[in-house]
Amino acid sequence: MIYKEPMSENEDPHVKYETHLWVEKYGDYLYRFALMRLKDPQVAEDTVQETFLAALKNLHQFDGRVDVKYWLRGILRNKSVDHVRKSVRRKELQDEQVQEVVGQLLFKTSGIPTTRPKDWAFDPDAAFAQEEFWEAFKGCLDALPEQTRLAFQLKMVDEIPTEEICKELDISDNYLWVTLHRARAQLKTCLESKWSAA
Amino acid sequence: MFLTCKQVSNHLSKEDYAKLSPFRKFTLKLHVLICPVCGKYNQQVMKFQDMARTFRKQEEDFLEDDRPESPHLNEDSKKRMAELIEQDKAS
Ligand SMILES: [Zn+2]
Repeated sequence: MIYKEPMSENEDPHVKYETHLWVEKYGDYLYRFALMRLKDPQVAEDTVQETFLAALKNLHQFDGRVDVKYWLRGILRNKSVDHVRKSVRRKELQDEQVQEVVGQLLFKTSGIPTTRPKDWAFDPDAAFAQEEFWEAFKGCLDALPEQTRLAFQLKMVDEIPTEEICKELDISDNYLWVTLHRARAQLKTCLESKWSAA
Repeated sequence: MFLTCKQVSNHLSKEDYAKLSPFRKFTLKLHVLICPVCGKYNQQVMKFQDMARTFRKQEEDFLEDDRPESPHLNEDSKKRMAELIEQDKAS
């Protein structure tokens, strides 16, 4: 890790962190990230702009310990979560559905699922090497309902701790767990239809 | 060394499988491979966790892909954003 001197009183953070280069250096990168998370190009663009403005507002708090790029990406991720939380007014699953799935799988009590899934002759190692597989995977991910997709991305791709996700999305951990279970089931079905070797 | 079904599903339901130590991962994999009770279900859970891990790298490649055919902000938007930053600096 590169240790950076703490900023002196007089140093202008705009100069120190080269804010005049942000759009040129990070704009497209952030835009692509926003597209991955939010899909809609207009929403993605607006969110990137919001991210820059929020970052400027909090520039005095930035300590330079991570690259500016990743700091901006973190802000953008939070903005995406906010957006989804606002746009999905109703939870995508009802509480009864959550109870039902929890009951079916009985994970918490014995660790033994009562429903046995069918075999899935899918070989990750063989599939992962193929570009077409990831196109299919991305297509399937995009096809998930917004909240389900975001939960999957936060937990499985970003590896954000469960407690944080539950707080951010304002859901219980059972709810998150069932959401992830559903995401897997839907992804599996989708992959089976889109990608013949799955 | 031997895990119970409950321990296995605890790890997997927390979705932290990918972050376990290699030894723990190995015992987990072994259990899931041979256990007639929880094996099938958890094999699929593990496949998804591997998939997501790998997808993470794919995503990073996509974000860094600056070829003309990959998505870009349009120039007007960039100009507008740069101006907003400039304004903030002045204030
Ligand atoms: Zn077992």
